[in-house]
Amino acid sequence: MGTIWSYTKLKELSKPNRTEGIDWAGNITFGLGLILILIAITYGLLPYGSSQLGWSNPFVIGSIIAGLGLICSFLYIETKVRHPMFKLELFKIRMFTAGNLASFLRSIAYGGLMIMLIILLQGICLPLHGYSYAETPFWAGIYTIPLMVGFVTMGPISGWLSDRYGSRFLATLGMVIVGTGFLLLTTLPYNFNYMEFALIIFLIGIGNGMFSSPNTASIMNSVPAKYRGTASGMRSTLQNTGQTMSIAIFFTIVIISLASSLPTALASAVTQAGAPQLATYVQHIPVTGALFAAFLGYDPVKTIISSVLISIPQ
Amino acid sequence: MEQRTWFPTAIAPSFMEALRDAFYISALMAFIAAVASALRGRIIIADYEENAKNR
Repeated sequence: MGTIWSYTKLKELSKPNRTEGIDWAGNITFGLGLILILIAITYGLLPYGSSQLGWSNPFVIGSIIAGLGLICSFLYIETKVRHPMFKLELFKIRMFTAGNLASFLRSIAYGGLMIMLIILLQGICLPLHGYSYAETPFWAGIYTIPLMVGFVTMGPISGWLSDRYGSRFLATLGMVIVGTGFLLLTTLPYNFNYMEFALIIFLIGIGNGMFSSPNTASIMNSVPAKYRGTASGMRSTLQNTGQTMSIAIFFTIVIISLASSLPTALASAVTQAGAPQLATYVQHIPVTGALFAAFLGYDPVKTIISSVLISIPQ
Repeated sequence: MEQRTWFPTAIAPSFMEALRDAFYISALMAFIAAVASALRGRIIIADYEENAKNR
């Protein structure tokens, strides 16, 4: 349906310039650079040697250096090739730069939120409220709906409001709302009241909806029509890069923070449960493993208990 | 310890603390995004300006 509709109804407004080739050098250096940095972050979160995190792994250090080198060479290439994927001089337009910077930061702040909320619900809240692990993915999906509802309801309204009050005011207010929503999320205890949680994520959805379309409109309006294709590509590349980085950044923060508190918390939990002899074992559970074990509904402590039972000489 | 709620309860306080750290940083990013958004300047529509100059 989408194919037929777009083929028959969409009209070309600007004359396509068929002489422009694909910027292979730019595409390859940017893509490879980003992939290497993300791989490095992924392995940086896995235990290496005796350390809970992998930042001392030479492979991680090498990938980060190579990735950053490729991104720098990408920026250099973009100033040299005739038809660059990123037209860097568009950043001289203040509105274009500000809009893209805001969009990129928004993507970093917002991109990993959903997966964190899902881990919180599936790993902690739902099992504590008696849901079986088979049901948690379904209910986690249902319970995060308010985020989407907020975003979707605000979409059309924000278009109308931005015609009245201007895109700058609306996009800025949207981001202030999102930031406030994040601060409100930090006030929740782990056994929170669902209505409170739903209202906060609804608010974050509203803020994001207020920001999105006015900001995109203002980015597109700021460039001359012949550069709109490139501008749109740059905007979505930056947004997707931000989103991908966001997930890596969220996991990095969560795992670094867990690495400092979780081993002792688990050790004191088994001691309180009357099994202090397990304390040394649980202290060596990699935090990445514990996080995903909780998320996947798999209890690493049971595995440890059974392995300890096997290793006790009969 | 064999209960379904034991492991989630054991990791919950540490996990919430970790999540709070992430949310504080997200809030900071969102507020910086708000500042960037406010600094975009007055609304310009590129082609109108160019057409106005040429007239």
